[in-house]
Amino acid sequence: MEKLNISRLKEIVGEKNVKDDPADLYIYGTDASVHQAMPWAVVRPENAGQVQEIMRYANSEKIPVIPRGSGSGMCGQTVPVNGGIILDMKRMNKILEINLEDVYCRVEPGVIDDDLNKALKPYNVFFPPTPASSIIATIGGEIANNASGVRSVKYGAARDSLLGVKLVLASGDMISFGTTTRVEASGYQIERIIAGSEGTLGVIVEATLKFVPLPTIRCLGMTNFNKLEEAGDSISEIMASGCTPSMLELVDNVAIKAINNALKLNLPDVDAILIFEADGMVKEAVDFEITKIKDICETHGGFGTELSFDEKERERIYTGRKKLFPSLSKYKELMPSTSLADDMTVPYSKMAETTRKIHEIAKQNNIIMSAYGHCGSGCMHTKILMDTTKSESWKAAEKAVAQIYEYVNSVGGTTSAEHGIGISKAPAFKIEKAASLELMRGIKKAFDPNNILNPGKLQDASDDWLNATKLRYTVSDKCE
Amino acid sequence: MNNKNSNRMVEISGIIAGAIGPGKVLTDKDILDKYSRDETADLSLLPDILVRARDTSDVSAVLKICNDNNIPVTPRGAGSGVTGGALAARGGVILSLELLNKIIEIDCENMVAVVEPGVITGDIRRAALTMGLLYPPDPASLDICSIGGNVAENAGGPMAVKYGTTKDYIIGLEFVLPDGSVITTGGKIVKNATGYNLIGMLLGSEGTLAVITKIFLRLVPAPGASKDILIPFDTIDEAIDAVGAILRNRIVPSALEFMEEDAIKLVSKFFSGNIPFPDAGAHLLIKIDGSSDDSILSDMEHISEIINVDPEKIIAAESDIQRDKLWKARRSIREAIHLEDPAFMAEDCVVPRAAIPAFVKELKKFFEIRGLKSIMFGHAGDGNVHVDVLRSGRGYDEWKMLQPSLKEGIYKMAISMGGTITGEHGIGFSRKDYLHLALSCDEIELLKRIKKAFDPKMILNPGKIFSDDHKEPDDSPPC
Ligand SMILES: Cc1cc2nc3c(=O)[nH]c(=O)nc-3n(C[C@H](O)[C@H](O)[C@H](O)COP(=O)(O)OP(=O)(O)OC[C@H]3O[C@@H](n4cnc5c(N)ncnc54)[C@H](O)[C@@H]3O)c2cc1C
Ligand SMILES: Cc1cc2nc3c(=O)[nH]c(=O)nc-3n(C[C@H](O)[C@H](O)[C@H](O)COP(=O)(O)OP(=O)(O)OC[C@H]3O[C@@H](n4cnc5c(N)ncnc54)[C@H](O)[C@@H]3O)c2cc1C
Repeated sequence: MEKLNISRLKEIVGEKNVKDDPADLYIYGTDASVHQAMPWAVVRPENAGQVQEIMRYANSEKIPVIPRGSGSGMCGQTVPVNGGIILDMKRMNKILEINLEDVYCRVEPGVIDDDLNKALKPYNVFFPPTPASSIIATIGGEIANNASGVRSVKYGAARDSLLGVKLVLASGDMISFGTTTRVEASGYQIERIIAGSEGTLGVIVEATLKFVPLPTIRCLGMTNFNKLEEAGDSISEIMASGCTPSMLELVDNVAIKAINNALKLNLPDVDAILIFEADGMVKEAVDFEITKIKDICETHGGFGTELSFDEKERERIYTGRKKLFPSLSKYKELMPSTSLADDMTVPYSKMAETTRKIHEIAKQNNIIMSAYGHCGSGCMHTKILMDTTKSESWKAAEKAVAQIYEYVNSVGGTTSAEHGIGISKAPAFKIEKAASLELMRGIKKAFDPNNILNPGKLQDASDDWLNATKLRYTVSDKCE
Repeated sequence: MNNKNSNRMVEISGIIAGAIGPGKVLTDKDILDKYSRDETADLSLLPDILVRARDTSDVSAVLKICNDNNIPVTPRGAGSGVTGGALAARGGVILSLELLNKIIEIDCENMVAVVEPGVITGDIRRAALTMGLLYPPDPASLDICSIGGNVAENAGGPMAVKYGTTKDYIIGLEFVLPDGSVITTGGKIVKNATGYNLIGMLLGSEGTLAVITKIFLRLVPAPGASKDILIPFDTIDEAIDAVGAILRNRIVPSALEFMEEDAIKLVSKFFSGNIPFPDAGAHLLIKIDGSSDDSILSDMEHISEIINVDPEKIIAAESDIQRDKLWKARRSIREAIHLEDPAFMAEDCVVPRAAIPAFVKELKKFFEIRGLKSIMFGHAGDGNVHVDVLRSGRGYDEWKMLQPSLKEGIYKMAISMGGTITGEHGIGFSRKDYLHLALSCDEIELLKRIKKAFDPKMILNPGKIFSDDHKEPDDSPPC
């Protein structure tokens, strides 16, 4: 801390773009995870040249630098475990080029997902990864987390839409990889490893993204199931049937109850709901797909199906799923939802079994867990609902998290589908990737020999997430 | 080979044979000779030992022995590469994966194929199709290349415009590092945000980072219907304008191939004039696929509205026989050139799509001034232009001397138009001296440091991608 020269930073970005008062530092010390730690300063660069200068300075003094978009990460990716500088990228928010002829756009990393899509809409195209947090998530954060969303089942994750990156390395050198074209094979594909690198390999200062035609026709459906397994079987069959749904979401009973409590929606109190969508340019083709999906669901016991092409109706059907995340804290009084064991991937064929297993583990540990997710891509989200003021809840959560990832690993799944690893999922990640941790450390070193970029994350994070940082919550009975 | 080296190689082949069994280790001159070549015109680099691995543990044992003894190892798939990637630039061991050729599983429920690296790509495609699934990447070498080689080269093909290249289908890999350790990453899952994307690192790594021993491929539902059309144009400009118009109208064909005049003429000669529209200034081959006939019909109608060509002149194909006729010219280009001159030079640049006509015309001028005949064709949808140059009467030695300046001219032109020096075929051996045209010094240094993180002793496929990989990253001269 004492080695940080604030006036040097002010010279680079200007007085008002450096913050070091404790209230600001506190806010920038946490994200959407359970973690909290104090940075030494927040710096807000305006262009790549400033980022280079900041990195040169930090590298020479070996000061940690944590790139940050909107801080909506759920696993503590931007929490400065060793202090250092938070590099707030949100001022670099220009859309530099939209090229319809060659079907790509170039953006600065601080552009908000929704703003990019607003700018693309007049051209009838869109940038598809779109996480549920698209109203705040930055493109830089989406790339660094390899984010994805409900439509990824058809359109892929951030990595799949990334054509090229311009990167400032820890040394301050600026490099660029990838092209504006779809194919290239010159040397290693650096852009692909940058997607998902969580700010540990370089600072993204520009991204070239591809976009896709905005479908003119959408049809949304929702079906109820009395048994989770029936929904699970439907998922596998839909995915193997030749259909390409643009959305396929599973909602479990805990989530249904929470939605009903929070929004008074009166959804049927069933074991599971599937929400599905087909999109395209030709009504007949969309109709054909949606009918096929509906038929598959109904042969497996789905009932009470609602279907609609109409925009208002689709919005109504989707309300519950859309507001699911904030609703979870309403499942039970004083049992807020925490981002723990927040996501994972399992093969489609294991979705139902995984949901059952999660409920079972929750019960054993006396906490509540909901499971829902983008099941068309095998992605499962959970949240732990617990009394966060009690240290015993945290102990229970710790056990549940470990058990869940042990199970996920045993069925061939992986620790994160879209939210990343950060701090809170690092212990499970390190078990899953034990054989390749050394290689990953070697790669980290090739990019960042002094280990200044977002240190203490991923392969270098603590094996004990609960004690890796302070918690963002007040635990009243904390007895060590 | 000097005597000392040859004794050393006898010793090493003995150690390898002892570890994995003698039948898999070969040193006969005529076999080594065969493995000294791939499909790169006019290039031969002799290895000392050929090892045909049968499983992952063979691969691991061979790598460990070679790593301990500082012996170069070059992985080889089916040897269809055109930049010398699978040749032993510094001698040593060729590690052939051709016998790791099992399709382990096609899992319809999860839509995943699990295969060994030596499987011929076309076999995977056919096996998946029998189950109603599609493995989309379709390099023209489909039936002579291996899936491992496709991963290592990040191979593409005509269908890339809609479906992407190999990189878009690899969801898991098992690979062996030079020290013999075996790593598995990914698996039967599609979404994956778990740490550094090692799969992405190995894609396009041309056998320089690790040896791939098992591959998990994502499959997609096979489209229910498809239709192909061939449209002749008077000029290349009109053809590429049409491509722009199609894509701007949000139609995404699953193939958009072009051939320019000289390419058409050459193939026409090959087939004695018996191809469709032999006198056209350009051909555009378009494939549309979809879930139902309705959607295809609507796209086709839309295309004929957009493009200003006499509908009488468009030929359409729906059956396999008709389709083969349509694609005959495009598929036979390489054969036709080979017949004309086996020592031709083949490049595959990428430029922004809209720049294709300018690129083709400027390059033609560049070659004409030098009295050289050239043939161009490629994937118009993604700007991938194949540039083949014929010797045009030059003597062999003169031709050899001339090539570096031709290559440099082609690459510089592609880069000046916002493109890059290779779309599908990689850097390998033949293009390593030109990497600095596409990447800056800092960028190349980073790649070398990554290479070192995987392969500290630099034994894996040395002499590829980098022109000076035998030097330490930090002692290369500043450029
Ligand atoms: C309510 C809610 C819903 C969510 N839903 C989803 C969802 O559906 N799908 C999903 O994938 N995620 C979801 N998330 C998680 C998160 O919003 C996304 O991963 C998002 O992409 C993060 O963007 P950000 O700008 O907030 O990044 P931050 O949280 O600020 O940063 C994330 C990571 O990116 C790095 N980073 C940021 N900018 C740069 C840069 N310019 N260069 C290098 N590294 C950089 C940071 O160091 C950090 O490691 C959700 C979060 C919330 C709170
Ligand atoms: C007629 C013809 C048409 C072609 N058309 C196309 C085309 O349309 N698109 C295209 O992209 N390419 C094309 N190619 C080039 C070539 O077929 C591809 O590059 C192919 O991917 C090479 O596969 P292979 O198995 O033959 O690899 P090889 O030539 O054996 O090896 C290529 C590289 O991959 C490495 N490698 C191979 N297997 C492994 C492994 N298991 N682990 C690690 N490294 C490995 C080798 O070391 C080498 O660097 C064409 C070639 C020909 C001759």
